Amino acid sequence: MANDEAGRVSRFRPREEDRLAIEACQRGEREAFDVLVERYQRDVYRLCYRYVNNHHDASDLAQDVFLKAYRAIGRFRGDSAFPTWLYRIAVNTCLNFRASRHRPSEELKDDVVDAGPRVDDRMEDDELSQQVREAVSRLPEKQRATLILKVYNDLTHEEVAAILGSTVGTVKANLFHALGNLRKAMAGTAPAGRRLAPDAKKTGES
Amino acid sequence: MWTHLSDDVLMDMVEGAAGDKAERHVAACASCRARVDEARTALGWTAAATVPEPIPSYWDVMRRRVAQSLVEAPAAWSRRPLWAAAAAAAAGAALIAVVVIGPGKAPVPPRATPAASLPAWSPLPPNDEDPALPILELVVAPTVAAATPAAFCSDVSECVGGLSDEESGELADALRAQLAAGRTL
Repeated sequence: MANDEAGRVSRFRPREEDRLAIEACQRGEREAFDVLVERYQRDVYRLCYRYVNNHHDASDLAQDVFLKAYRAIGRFRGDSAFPTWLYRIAVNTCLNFRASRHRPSEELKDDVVDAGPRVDDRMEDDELSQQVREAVSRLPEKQRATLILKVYNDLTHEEVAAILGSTVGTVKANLFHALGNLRKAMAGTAPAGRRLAPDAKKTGES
Repeated sequence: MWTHLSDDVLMDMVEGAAGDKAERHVAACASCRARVDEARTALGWTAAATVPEPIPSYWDVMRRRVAQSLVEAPAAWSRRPLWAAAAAAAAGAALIAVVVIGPGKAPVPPRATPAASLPAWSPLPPNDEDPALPILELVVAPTVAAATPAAFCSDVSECVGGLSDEESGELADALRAQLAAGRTL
């Protein structure tokens, strides 16, 4: 099944195509998994990219996510939507990867300090994009996961809570903390009051 | 007493989903208003953090890579019938029972002198005199017979030893369930 125009899955509504593909996989029809890969590979790749900030690792991680999903799909019972289940695998895979590659000191604490001199307003958008990505990647784990899933994967608070094994209230609070920390981390670099149009620079993301 | 809004309600404010009461509070509270404004500013920045889009042909490459990885590492659950995993689980439970419960119930012959050096784990050679085997057979045989006429897993040691990581996980779950239920032989 093709993704929508933006190449993403906007909500986790039950999909007949997913169910049929999953059941075929569970019968041992390996080719059926390709339907799920085609449908979700962009979302999984982008989620992974948010964690590692480079194409090479994101690509490897996304492949690993699908391999793990395939190996476990025999136990998928549909208690949650397939993408919820898949995203949970993706988040765990990314967290394990980061745990093996990064030191905790690289992460921002809850109370980050303003950093560095402010650059002028001529800063290119791609520079700002890189800085925001890096700031996001340095947020504490739960805040980062919450922000990525909610803001970039366009999930509802309920869906994020299901993926992270949390509550809706906690998800909202973590998202608010994440935005506060992002604001502090970017205070020294982003132009004052700069507000980019939410959809102006997106390339197929929510 | 003046109480500021909780963070989850402030997030509702950022998203425009808070109720009238919260909005009235924010309108009157400079501290909460400042926090909401900061969060909205940060939310605006997040839109700038786009992920570079791979070239269009990349997605086909990725699908092929995934498909190839599935061929090289097929799903553990598809390699063996379910009854075999159940039999393996039962066999594993019997092994645990022998180790944990069994010493007082079954005669154990004197141990042979161990080899000078053994690796941390290695498959043991078949030993027809192993006292655990009759117990394993008692557990496994009915399961196998009930599941299929084909003796796929007649050799318990082969069945257990050949488990994948996935099946080992299932085996561990089954063992925990049986031990939690107080099952004994």
